[in-house]
Amino acid sequence: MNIGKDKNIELEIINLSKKFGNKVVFRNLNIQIPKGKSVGIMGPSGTGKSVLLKCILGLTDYEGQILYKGSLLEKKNRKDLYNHSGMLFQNGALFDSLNVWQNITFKLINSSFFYSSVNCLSIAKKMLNEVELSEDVLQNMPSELSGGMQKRVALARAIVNNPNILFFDEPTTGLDPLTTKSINNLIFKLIKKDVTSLIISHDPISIQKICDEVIFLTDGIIEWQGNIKEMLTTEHKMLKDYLNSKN
Amino acid sequence: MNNNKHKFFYLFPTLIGKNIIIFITSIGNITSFLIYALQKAIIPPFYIKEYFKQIYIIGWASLPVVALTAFFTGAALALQIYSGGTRLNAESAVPSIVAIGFLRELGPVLCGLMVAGRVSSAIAAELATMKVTEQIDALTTLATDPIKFLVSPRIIITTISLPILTTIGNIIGIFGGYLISVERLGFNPILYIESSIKYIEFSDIYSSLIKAATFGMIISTMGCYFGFRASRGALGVGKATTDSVVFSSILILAFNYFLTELLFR
Repeated sequence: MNIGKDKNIELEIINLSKKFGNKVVFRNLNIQIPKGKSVGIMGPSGTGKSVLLKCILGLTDYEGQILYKGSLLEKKNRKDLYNHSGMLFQNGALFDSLNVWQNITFKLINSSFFYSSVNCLSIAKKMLNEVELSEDVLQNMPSELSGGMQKRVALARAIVNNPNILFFDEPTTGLDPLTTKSINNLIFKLIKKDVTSLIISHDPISIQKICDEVIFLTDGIIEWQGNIKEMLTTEHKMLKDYLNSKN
Repeated sequence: MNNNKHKFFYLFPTLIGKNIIIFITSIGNITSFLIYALQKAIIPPFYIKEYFKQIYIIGWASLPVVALTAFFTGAALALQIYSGGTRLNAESAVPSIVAIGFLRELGPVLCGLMVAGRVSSAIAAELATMKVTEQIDALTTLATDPIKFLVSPRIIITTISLPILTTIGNIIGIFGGYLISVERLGFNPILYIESSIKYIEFSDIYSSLIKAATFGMIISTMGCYFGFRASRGALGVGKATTDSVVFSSILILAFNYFLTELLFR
């Protein structure tokens, strides 16, 4: 393998293994995420999809190597990745003690002295427009927003610094079909701006809508890998059963 | 039967050994957690806003609780010492005993326990909730060190706030004793103040401050440590809150004894 040499690869996962006690979540996982592409990781619950994302983001320990733009990510220091990425958590993970505009501009406020409240407010307004949310919610606390609105605010927070790479953990879980559709459209619109993305989902419709390539994970191993066209015409029994069960 | 006896014979020391290992490991973990947070506090960037927020939450908001507790304890202490003192014809010792007792012992311990109940539990509940709702993970992905952002300000501010709160508590406690002694027990106000001040030494004041600062560090460290360790779910938040208050209170009383040994030998 040409490790870290291919400039078209944004993120590379090499021989990644993770265990909780004696339970193996995945072993020797190898994944490449090309620049500007959106890769979806799909699979039943408990197959280690979210754990994989946590490993990439350095939120849990692991064995193996993760390369970002060809450079090995240190297990405890991922400043470069954090500065150029955005993450949408499953439940939004908005800060309870901060209002909407403070949540959105958190990264900017804490990264530089040059951002004043006035600056941040105008940036937050712009971000709210991007995620199709009214400016009226700027001063609201997260607890005053609906689930769909929280997801949009979290999305605005993830894209505030124009990231090169976006991570999504189950972006539409717990949302009604209409909100799911609009969140999918929003993500699709965002990642088409030459942004690399990794989407964890168990929803084939979301994956189909957003992703270029799909990885089907079961019991910690890559069961199937291909593009959307191939996924829709696959004869792979397990994947076919999975897709049918979700339709 | 014999086999079962053997099993019990081995089970008991194994259980003790296991708990000793857990205890020593926890001390190590808490100490390294504290050292890491203090190290982070002196390296830029400094989250000044967070420090000011904590001054309000931890220091200012704890003032009414500390003041009320100190006032009533000072008043009760004066009554108790007076009624006990009459048996020995030592009623005149009320002012000095209230003052010395408050400065050396009651002020820092009471203030520590009251703030532990209010602040340690609040810190643990807040951080544990942040942990289980992935807000701490979100902080990390937003290029912010959660320990530096959440833990360092809380530990520093509690360590600074508690000596200030204790000093205010001491003054209010002594005033509580004064008020009861003058208004109810018929002491002369000027003589009361004179004999209160007469026997106070500098060591009483600085020992009170040292104790308070130590208790402050214990309170916030326990709150933050248990909050950060919380496992998923509401049960984890509840457990972190309870553990932080219980361990803070026990450690305050234990450290009070060791510091008393150290400072007044």
